[in-house]
Amino acid sequence: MIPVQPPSGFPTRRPPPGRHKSRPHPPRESLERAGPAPLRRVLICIPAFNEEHRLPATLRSLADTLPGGADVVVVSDGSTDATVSIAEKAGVHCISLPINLGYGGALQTGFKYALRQGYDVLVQMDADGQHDAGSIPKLIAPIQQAQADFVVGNRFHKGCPYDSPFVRDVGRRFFASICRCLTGVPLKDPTSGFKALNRRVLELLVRDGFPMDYPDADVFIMLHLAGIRIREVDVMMHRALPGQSMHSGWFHPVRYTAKMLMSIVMTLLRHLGGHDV
Amino acid sequence: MSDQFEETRLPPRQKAWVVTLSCSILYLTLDLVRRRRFREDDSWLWLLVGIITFVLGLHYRLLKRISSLLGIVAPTSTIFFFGQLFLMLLALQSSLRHAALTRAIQVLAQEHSLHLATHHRKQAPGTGRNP
Repeated sequence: MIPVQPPSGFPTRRPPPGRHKSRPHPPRESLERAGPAPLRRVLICIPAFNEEHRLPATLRSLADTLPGGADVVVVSDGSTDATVSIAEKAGVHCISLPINLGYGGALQTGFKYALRQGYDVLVQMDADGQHDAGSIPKLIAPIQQAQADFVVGNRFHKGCPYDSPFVRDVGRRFFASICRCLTGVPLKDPTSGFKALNRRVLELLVRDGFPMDYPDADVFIMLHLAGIRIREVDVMMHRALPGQSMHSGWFHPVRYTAKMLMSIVMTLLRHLGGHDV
Repeated sequence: MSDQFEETRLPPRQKAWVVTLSCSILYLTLDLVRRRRFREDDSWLWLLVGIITFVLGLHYRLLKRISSLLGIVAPTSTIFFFGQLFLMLLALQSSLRHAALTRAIQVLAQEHSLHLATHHRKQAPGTGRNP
């Protein structure tokens, strides 16, 4: 396990409550079922690339599960179909990237948006209907109770019917064990795309070092080395609705594994050189 | 075996070719920079190649000396070696430039979209809530 040393200049203290008053939008209550602690502004960020068929169901499930709750932003990653118009018709915020930046690029755009609009918590979820909106309160609860900065939704537990293909499961276990060895955090599902993060994490992830393609295990290690408190909570996930996945194809697992291993090694080397993020 | 490499001067015809080639590289590079078709940052490698070719063409002994320093028997192999080195450096420089440009495009695309989204948000402040 690698010892954590917050780098110089890294904000180790939370900003005073008065700072929130200067934000462009006044804080308001959202996600009222999330817990007893004072509720903060929450943004649900959905990166989407050509998701015209699956996005409506995802937005509907959000509306059904969290009525009048959090704000929602759909980041269209250079979609060429009706993704943008579907999001606009649904009345959610929509950021339309002119070119395809990749999953990480779209996510980072959502992070920048959340920071600039003064949100305190961001929940990232996929557009393919895999992530259960009902688990969002559970996901953000550790952040609201100031127990964690970064929360990952674990889909591999007894109460979740989700079943991943064999190859993907082997990869997930492999990277989970690397994360556990390097960070000491008992992570089971580092490849989960269902996460919640606070402003402290957002400020780190909008920097140049954020991977534009697959931000997974390497980001966990990077955040752990930067002193971020990481928690994993059990969430519900379903099989994705039928459609093209960014993980499909025979070449993708090879490319993903090679890239992720390289990225982890580079993260460790940067840490040794004194540059955590 | 080394007899064939004992020449101390390039034959005049070869020398003329080398000088012409190196002068052409230098002229072309400088002209492209002058016409802003080529950036100064990218031109140094090409200028270096032109100057090295020119110097080695005029001073064959220097080429032989470099060859013996590197342990290369034939001076022509030294030329090929430097040619390969040049191509590798060129590829590296292109990769670095490509990475920087990719990053710049990513940031530009993000900033452009964020500005549009912020503008829309100001125009229609009620939108964006959970549908």
